[in-house]
Amino acid sequence: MSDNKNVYTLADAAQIVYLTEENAKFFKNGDFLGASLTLPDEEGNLKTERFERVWLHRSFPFNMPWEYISVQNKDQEELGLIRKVSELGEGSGAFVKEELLRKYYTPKIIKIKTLKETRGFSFWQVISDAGELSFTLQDTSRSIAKISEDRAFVFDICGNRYEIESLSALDKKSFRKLELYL
Amino acid sequence: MVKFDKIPKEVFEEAEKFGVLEKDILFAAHADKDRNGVYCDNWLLITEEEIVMVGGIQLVVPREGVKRRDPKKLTVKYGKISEYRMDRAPLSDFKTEKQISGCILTAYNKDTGSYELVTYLTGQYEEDFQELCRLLNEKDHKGEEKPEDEAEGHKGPPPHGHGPHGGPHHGGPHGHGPHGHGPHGHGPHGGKKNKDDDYCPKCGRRYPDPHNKVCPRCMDKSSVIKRLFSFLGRYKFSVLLILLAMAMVSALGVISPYISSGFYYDQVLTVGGKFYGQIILVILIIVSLRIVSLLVDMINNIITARIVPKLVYDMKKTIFDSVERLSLSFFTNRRTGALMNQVNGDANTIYWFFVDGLPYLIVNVIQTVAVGVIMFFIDWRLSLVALVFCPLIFVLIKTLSLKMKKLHAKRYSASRSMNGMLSDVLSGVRVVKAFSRERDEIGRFNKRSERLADTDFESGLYSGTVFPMATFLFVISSTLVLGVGGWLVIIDEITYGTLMTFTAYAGMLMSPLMFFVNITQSVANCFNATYRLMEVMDAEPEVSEREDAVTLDEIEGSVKFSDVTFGYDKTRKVIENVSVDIPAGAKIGIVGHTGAGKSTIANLLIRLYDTDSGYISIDGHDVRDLSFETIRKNVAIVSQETYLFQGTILDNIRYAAPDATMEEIVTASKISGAHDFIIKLPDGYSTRLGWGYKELSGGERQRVSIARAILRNPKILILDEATSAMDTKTERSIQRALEKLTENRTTIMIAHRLSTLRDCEKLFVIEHGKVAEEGTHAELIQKKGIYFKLYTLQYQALKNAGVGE
Repeated sequence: MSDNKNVYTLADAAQIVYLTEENAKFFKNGDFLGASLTLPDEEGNLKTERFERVWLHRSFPFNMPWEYISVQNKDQEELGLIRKVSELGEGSGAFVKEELLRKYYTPKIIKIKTLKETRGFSFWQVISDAGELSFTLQDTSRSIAKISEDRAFVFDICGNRYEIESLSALDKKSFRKLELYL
Repeated sequence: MVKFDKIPKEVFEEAEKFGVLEKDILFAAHADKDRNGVYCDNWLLITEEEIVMVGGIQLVVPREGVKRRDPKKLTVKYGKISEYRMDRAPLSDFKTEKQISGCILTAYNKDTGSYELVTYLTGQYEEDFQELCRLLNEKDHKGEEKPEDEAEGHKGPPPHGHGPHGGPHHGGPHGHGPHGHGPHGHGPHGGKKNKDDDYCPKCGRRYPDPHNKVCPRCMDKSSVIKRLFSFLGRYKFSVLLILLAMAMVSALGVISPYISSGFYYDQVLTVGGKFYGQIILVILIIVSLRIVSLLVDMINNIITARIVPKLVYDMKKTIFDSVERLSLSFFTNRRTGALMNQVNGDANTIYWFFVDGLPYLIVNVIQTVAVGVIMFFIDWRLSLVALVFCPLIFVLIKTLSLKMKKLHAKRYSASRSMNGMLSDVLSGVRVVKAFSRERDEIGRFNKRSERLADTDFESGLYSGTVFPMATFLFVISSTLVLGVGGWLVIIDEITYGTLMTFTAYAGMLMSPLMFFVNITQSVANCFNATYRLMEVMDAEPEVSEREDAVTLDEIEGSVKFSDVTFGYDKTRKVIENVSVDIPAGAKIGIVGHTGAGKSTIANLLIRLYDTDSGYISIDGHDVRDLSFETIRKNVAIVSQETYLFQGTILDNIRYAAPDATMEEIVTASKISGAHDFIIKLPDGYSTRLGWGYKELSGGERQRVSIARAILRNPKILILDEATSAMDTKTERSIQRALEKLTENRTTIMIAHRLSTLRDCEKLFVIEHGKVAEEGTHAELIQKKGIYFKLYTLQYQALKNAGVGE
């Protein structure tokens, strides 16, 4: 386990605070997430502080949606890192999950009704899990990011994103429309 | 009322039902998601007391009594699905927050001490809502002022000419400073008038890219053709000659089969024919016709070959001119590669259309029509037989070519991904080896290579089966003609010669058929290319020189940032309310974390971008009032991205001042420390840089860049992390050399490493886009703030590394 040891020393050097059930409690405050965290101050003494609102950020949004979640204050300074949401215990974990789901909500494309390309723009009409949506892409091929063999993200001209959870699960007609750009 | 979008009257009617009167509404905005994140048209009506949200579906339907889907006769119908009311009094600090997709509007609730989610929206409306937040927060600060009262509050330096913000009649609460939006103003404008600019006037849809007012759906094809041909205008005479030559080629092409088949059999070989036995004469006629046809064709080709490259040159030049004229933001929005493709590839597409497409299109159209007419003229029954298979063949080829087009695109993307990966891995082979990832890389390569092979196989399969089938159908139809024709000859309806003439003409139909199938694609490509070129030509530079811009021969060098706010993408502010005063000749430093917005300040000063609000002045002149020449001549920047062009080191140093003497160049290089390494190179200053030639190290490149900037002899010198890639010793020696040079020049040094800045008279600490601290080194140390923290950190690091100063 020499590898592991290395990781730990690196982490020690980086002084990462991992948040768990012991040192962190998350709660719902208004529509958002608040937290009460026990963090070391500059001298290394532990202090518990209440944050009216904290912001969450996934480190690996595509592969590990529930791991390595950065918890930040309003100045975007990292307060700590959640290694696994499950380590937070049931109550806190559920609130964190809810907040993450809200922030990372991306409509999932189920079916592509029409996809027309004209003059550098492509116009999409899709059926998603949020209903029927239409949006526009510029430079189509580059606006579709395949993050694995089977999963892709589509970025429209306004910066909104849409997910195709499984390319192979798309119906044939939809896939054929998309195929060209993959 | 400030409207951020067109608000359908149904919304107001809906609002009235719960007592919100149209006259009480201060702001009305449109979001495309509601409070629960459901996609719909959500209208926010904001009064003094409350925020009312009406969510519904907006449908574009024909007006009553209008049947046709005429875009001008469409109207908006509205169906309510949700409503929500919030008390406005306790809410403050309205903010849009980016989510992974789209964003949310939040507000702080004083009563509960927590944040509230007002509504969801997608990226399309984000800019509107940022402006709304600004107005709401501003109102909260100012109390009860009505927006209308502020209409004339256009303070600050003189407005900068362009854009809809010029006059007071536009109203809108632009309380402070000018808005540097340029012509594509956004945000509310007191009324609907300007907001309409975001919609295509033809179909009423919002432009996909609000900064580029082109509705791809309503693009006028005829205007594209017109503009394409307007380039031809200069070559009228040649074009006329070409058309004439092509008409002759087509005519000759139609006559020759008649002479060599029907006429030959009936009049020369048949007893009693007018030219019976005069074989040599007829052969001579045929040969001379061929010769004339050949000559005309050659002349045509020569003229085409001469004018088309000129035409393409004209186009490329026009495009390159437009591209260079555009602001930097145009380039940051598009990738450089795509842009190069645009200039080069598109012009080539048009070139090939003119050389390989258009002439044959004209010839083929004339010939096909002529041949068709002649065939019916010869015998209508045979014509019908011959044409029976034509539609079938056409459809077959069309299907095939569509399939092939897709396969080509697939092949292109497969080969692009393979080549991209190959060059990536080869140039990064050091890293691959270092982490012993060879096996994985081979695997990755094989996968891509396989994909390419698959598409190649597929396209081979199709072209190998469908094309022969089309040819087979054509052979069948010719055989049928031969059969029916033979029967007609036997019953003496037509002569043998006529039949021969007919089959000769029928045979002439196959190649135009193939041609027409393929030309549609070529025409479409040419249109698309032309359209893209025009898009570049028509794009408005966001940063433009005023017509009455002031040119100053000599400047003192004082610089002032007054309440400057800016973001590269309008939805994300990089620097906010920055005010910095730099007296002429001063040497100041800007410190801050990576990404704090330090370089942005430099970019704004040299006017690569315009501020969103606030202004920057040089010697008391707003930079927007100064000519580009004044700025470029007097302000030089050495940025952290040192870009060296292909060419010699000399060319690169001289780039900033083409007239500089060798002595000046060497002096400048000496100061910048470049001389010392250049002189060690075998070719000295003539060392070639770039692909396949000498690669300079990061520090070397920086020294060359500094030399380039010094050579310009500017009044204001900006060093943006200019020495970051050098070791501290080299940096010190360059700084010492620079010291003399910068004595009475304004010098702005931007650095991450604090030791770089230790000679600065004044330091500005930038944090999160704001000036957090300012003062001398000693003052800031005493303050024990951010600077002190940075300093002790870096000092500690040096000490730990055993370097201690």
